[in-house]
Amino acid sequence: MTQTNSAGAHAATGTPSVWTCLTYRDVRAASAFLVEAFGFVERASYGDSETVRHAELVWPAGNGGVMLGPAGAGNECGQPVGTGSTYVVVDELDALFARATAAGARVVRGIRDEDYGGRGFTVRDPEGALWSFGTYQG
Amino acid sequence: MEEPPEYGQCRPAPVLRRSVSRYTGYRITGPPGLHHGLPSGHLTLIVCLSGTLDVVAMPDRARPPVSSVSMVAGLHDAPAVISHDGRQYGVQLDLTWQGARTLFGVPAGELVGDVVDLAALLGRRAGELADRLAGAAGWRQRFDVLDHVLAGLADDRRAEPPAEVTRAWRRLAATGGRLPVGELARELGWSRRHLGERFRREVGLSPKTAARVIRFERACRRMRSAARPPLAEVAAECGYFDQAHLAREFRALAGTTATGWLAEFPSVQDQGGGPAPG
Repeated sequence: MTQTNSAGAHAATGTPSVWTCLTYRDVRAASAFLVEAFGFVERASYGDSETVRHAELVWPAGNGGVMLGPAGAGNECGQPVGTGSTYVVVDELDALFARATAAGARVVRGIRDEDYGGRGFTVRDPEGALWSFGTYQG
Repeated sequence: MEEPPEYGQCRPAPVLRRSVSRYTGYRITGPPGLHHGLPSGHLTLIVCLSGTLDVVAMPDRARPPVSSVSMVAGLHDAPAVISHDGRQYGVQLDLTWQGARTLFGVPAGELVGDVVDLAALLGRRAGELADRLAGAAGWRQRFDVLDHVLAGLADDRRAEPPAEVTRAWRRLAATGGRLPVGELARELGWSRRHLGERFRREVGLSPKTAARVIRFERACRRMRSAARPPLAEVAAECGYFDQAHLAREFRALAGTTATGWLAEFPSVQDQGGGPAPG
């Protein structure tokens, strides 16, 4: 079977065709945090006893995804740890804010009405990457 | 030369989610030993990418040992003991009880306590699957092969399980195996006896045993998660009276201790997060 990579195939299966890629010191811990704090679902992970080399997390209520990779000399596409800014569209903003902060996300900007419409908040994950959630759909 | 253990994990394509919860690929080299296959809420399908899988003690001790490149273990409430030469290289699939019908055309009840050669269920397609997996270049490609082959096997026109059994299992899974069976029967509007008979015929375990292995699977998953939480914490979280209760349950269901079982794995940890069997 040939693997099709057309946008049409992705639309049919719900697999994201745009992924944001983030670099972490500890991919395993980062993945566990994103699952616990925000409700991402880990779809796949690959690694060895030392490190998770690649993890894919999808957003269950939509079609987006993030790919996580380890920091280090072996990763020529790695970014500095603690960088990256991702925005996720959600319905239940208040519940998610409570869940995220309970799991240890650090508040950068609390829930507020945005001047472009909708409400949102921004937090940092334990390694410093920015995560924004809001009702603004783009 | 010992290579570090490597693994891959992936959720199956959405079309297979009712039948398969998770794919896990593993390649481990180390000293020879025994590995305990623990009771859980899933059936297990294993395809070796080198050598064979040698089950030296079956969950149902009355059944003779089995050795094959690929096999399916039904639901069970006692351990399967697997002997290995130190090289373990293959893929494991966590199948739901509904998946037995969808993929093999038999109810999970027919496989209970047993481990059967995949060829007995799939004929020559078992060998073809093993060949295609061995020929694939990496975990991602192997998981694609599984998605493709299993989607070809899945035939949802096969007899549907009784809706009440599906509902019963769902409730047990949703409560982490903590719902008393009497309460479950009341919810369904069946007598306990009727529920027990219908459930056992389809699934192979009684509702009470199903609840027990669902709870146990959840505890084992927590134990192997990256955080490696202490046993007492897992016991409290998963609905055991205390740590001693979980330890006794481990002995009874797994034939080993929690510590002994955890030591059977190199530090490739379960990433957790797999869906509950539903």
